[in-house]
Amino acid sequence: MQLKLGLAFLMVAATTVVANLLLNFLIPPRDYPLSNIIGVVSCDLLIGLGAAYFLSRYFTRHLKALASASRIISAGDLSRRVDLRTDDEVGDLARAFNAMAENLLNVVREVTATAGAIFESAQSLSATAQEMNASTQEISSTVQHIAQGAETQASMVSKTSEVTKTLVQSILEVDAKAQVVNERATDAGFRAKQGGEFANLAMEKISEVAERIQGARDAVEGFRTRALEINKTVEFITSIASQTHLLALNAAIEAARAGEQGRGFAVVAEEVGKLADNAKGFAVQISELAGRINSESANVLASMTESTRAAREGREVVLEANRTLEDIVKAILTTVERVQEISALTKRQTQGAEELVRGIEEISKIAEDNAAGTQEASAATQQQTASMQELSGSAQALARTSDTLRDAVSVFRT
Amino acid sequence: MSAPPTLQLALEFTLARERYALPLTAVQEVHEIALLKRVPKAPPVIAGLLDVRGRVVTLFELLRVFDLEGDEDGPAVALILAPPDGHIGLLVRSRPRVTRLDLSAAEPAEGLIESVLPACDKLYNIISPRRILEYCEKQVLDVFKLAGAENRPATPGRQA
Repeated sequence: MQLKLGLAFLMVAATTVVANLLLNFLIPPRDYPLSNIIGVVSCDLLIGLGAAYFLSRYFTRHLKALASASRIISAGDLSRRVDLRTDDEVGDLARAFNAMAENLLNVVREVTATAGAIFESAQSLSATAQEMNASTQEISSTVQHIAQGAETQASMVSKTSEVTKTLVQSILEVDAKAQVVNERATDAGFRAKQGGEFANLAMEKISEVAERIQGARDAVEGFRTRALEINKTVEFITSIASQTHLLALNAAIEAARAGEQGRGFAVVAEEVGKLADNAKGFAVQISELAGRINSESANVLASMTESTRAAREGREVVLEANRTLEDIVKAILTTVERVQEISALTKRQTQGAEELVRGIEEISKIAEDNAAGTQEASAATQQQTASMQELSGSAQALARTSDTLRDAVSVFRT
Repeated sequence: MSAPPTLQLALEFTLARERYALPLTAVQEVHEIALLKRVPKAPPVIAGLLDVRGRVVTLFELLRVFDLEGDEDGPAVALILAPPDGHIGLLVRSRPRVTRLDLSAAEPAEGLIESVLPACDKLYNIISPRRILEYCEKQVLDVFKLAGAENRPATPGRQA
């Protein structure tokens, strides 16, 4: 091509030189009129224009073929090729053009395939993103629930800590009261022992009283026997008094029957009768006194019998009380042991409860940290949800872009 | 100025809480009864028979004579009447005592009570042994007549 253009320009230059030489030959330069000069220049221009015309025809014919092929390719037909079998630069251009069209065809095929794959991947990514979005929203909801639960847990742990502190205080109070009970029970045991000793002493005294009552009862029994004997004696005296009374009565009757001679005897008989009546009256009084003594003795004996029985029962009661006191002492000693065990247990309980309080405080801190972390996780999950929504939007946009790309590439017929 | 009262010795005793008296001269002796012989089919006024030193004395129960209740558990005392009624005794249920009474102040009464004497806020029934004996004999005869009429054989000859 360069060579042809060189030869063309060389031919134009040579033609112009020849024309000028001819002109110079024919007409001397000193004789040249101005009109001749214009004619020469016009001849040169005509020659140049003619050469240019032929050269442009030669070159534009192949370029038009290339332009036509370019328009067809630009219309989407990538199968179009340029058939120029020249060895010059235009031929090179046509071959390069065909190679370019082939490469463009391959590119469009790859772009179409890639756009389809991108579209499918974008669809899949969008679906996955939506699923992940839903899952993330569920996770976010769950994390929010967990956060609420963690807050509730922290609150409950705090309350538990307060309750445990109250429990520790109660255990300390129980321990203090157990110590007081221990002291009181020990004192009660000592007093119960003293009570047992007093009961033994009382039992001995009651036995002594019972023995004394028995002795007094025997004495009163003898006294009553004497009173009965007095009664018999009084009965005898009463009988004698009655007989004396009758004798005096009969003597008075005899004296009355004797008349004046019996007057003095009647007085004696009357006095004897009065004495008999007095003796009988005294005997009655003695009998009544003996009867009272007998009755009182019987009452005293009954009282003594009752007292003896009461003393015996009292002795039994005291004996029972002593046994009960011994049982109480045993029970109190057992109670003291139990209270001491309770005291030891409450001390261990106190230590355990204090450790429990510390543990609960740590748990409270952990729960608070958990609540805070859960809240942060909730926030992060919400952010992730937003990101997933953005991702889903981007995937959908990518799908639309790939779809647009596929539409754009679809204008090429491969 | 009135004359001083004439006091007489009398034997005082109680029957059913009432005071009775009889002149001491009407009584021969007084006995406390230890053992009394009951009389079969005798009227209620006869308490029984009493042996007084070998002499049989018929005792009349004054509670039955006066038809009174009570005092049956008291001491049984026999008032043996003076002759000529020495075989008769009056059984009382209390111990008698000798007292002095103004019998002239007694007011006459009817029946078995001879008179009534108020003295020292007390009221004495003065009994008459004679009236009592007549009453008791009549009771005994009535009973024996009745018994004889029941035991007599009813033969037409004797009845005629």
